[in-house]
Amino acid sequence: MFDLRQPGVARTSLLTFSVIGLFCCFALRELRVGNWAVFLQLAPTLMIFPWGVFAVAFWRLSRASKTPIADLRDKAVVLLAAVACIPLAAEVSLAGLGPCIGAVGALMAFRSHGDAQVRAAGICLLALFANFSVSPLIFRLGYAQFIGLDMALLQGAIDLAGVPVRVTPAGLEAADGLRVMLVGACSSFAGVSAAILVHMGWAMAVRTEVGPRDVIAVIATVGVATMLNIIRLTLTASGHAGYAFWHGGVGETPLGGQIFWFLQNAILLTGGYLSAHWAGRGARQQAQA
Amino acid sequence: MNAPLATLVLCFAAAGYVTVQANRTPRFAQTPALTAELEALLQDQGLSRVPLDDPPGKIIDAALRFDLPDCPIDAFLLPLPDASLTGVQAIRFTELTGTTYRATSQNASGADTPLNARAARWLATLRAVFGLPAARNSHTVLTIFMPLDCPARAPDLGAFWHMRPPQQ
Repeated sequence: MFDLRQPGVARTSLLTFSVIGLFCCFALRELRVGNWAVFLQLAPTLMIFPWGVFAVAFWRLSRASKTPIADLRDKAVVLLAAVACIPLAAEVSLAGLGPCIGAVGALMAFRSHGDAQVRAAGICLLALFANFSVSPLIFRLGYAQFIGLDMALLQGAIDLAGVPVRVTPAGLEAADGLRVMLVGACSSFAGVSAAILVHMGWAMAVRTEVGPRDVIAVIATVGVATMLNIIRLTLTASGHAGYAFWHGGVGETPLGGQIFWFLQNAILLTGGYLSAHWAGRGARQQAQA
Repeated sequence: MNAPLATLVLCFAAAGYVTVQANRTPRFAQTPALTAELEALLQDQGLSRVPLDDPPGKIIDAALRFDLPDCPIDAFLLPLPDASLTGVQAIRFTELTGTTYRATSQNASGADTPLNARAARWLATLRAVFGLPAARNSHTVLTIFMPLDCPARAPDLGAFWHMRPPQQ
């Protein structure tokens, strides 16, 4: 895989080493290495999508040309990202690791030297960056607007389903007295970047081109993710029984919550795969033309 | 192995070490004195601590929300403050009628804000919240949450606190 006998370091080797390093930082954090009790506690909520997208990036890099030699700019970007990783690794969320992944991803996507495999791997890393850092930032900046939009969508879904729930500025009031407030973690938009990640991961697994259809496919995947969450929120807010089944108290994931989590992941994975294939046909036609 | 690759390996090894240490380090350490003070304060307000296995949080009538930069998304939480908690930006209390009280807003850095000052500010906020003249529902519940993605990073905090008034 690596060609270290060349006088300079092979570009693919340099990039692969850096992605391995970034992946290790990600994995150490996600697996809570050093604190297994915590890992076991969080294991059921482990996000599976980034692992798959990293795998696609590695696969693409393994198929990249081994001959180009890394130039000074390649080395500078990769080494800066690696050095920046040291203090950022202490950050509790993945948001700290995101910019390092984004820098290497941008280098690969925008300076691929015509190697479609390297570009595809770079796009995977950029999708991870969007998921880890950009999306939480946007969500934080537009928190009130996102929650407001959630409430409006919920109002529509409740009206459509005829569920006896009253939407007030303070939250949702069910007929049986259940009152819940909508907070960031419940937002339908919390899963948007995950939907984008799934689509781009699948897309780069089945092809190396990106086309206009990808935008439509991403919007469709995001729409599905949003709709699923609105359905769950409607069921959750429908009354005490609905809340207990679909949401549960702090630290518990009832059967309904588990079913929802499984369904959501399955639908996102399937939808992402189908949309990636559909968008791929458009991208290939465009490339052939 | 040539120099760039060796440097890369060294940097990522260091980053890995930092990550593992961060995993081991509790993010929000409990401060026993503060815990006791907070509990006493809430008892003064007619609230009592209830066991974890009796979660009243299924009805959330009142909650405090903190925006923490080290959580991926905003969450409903009240971690007990300590020196490692940085960047508390805002504390908001949403009363049942929908009125939002912006209790305090700051751009704090952990190093610059002494624990005692911050704890005092938090407690003052709680007093302000519970001292509000707005009618409280008889089953008002103050649910103290950890950030949804971060609880596991604070194993020493462990217990979520659920507080509610004594049963009528």
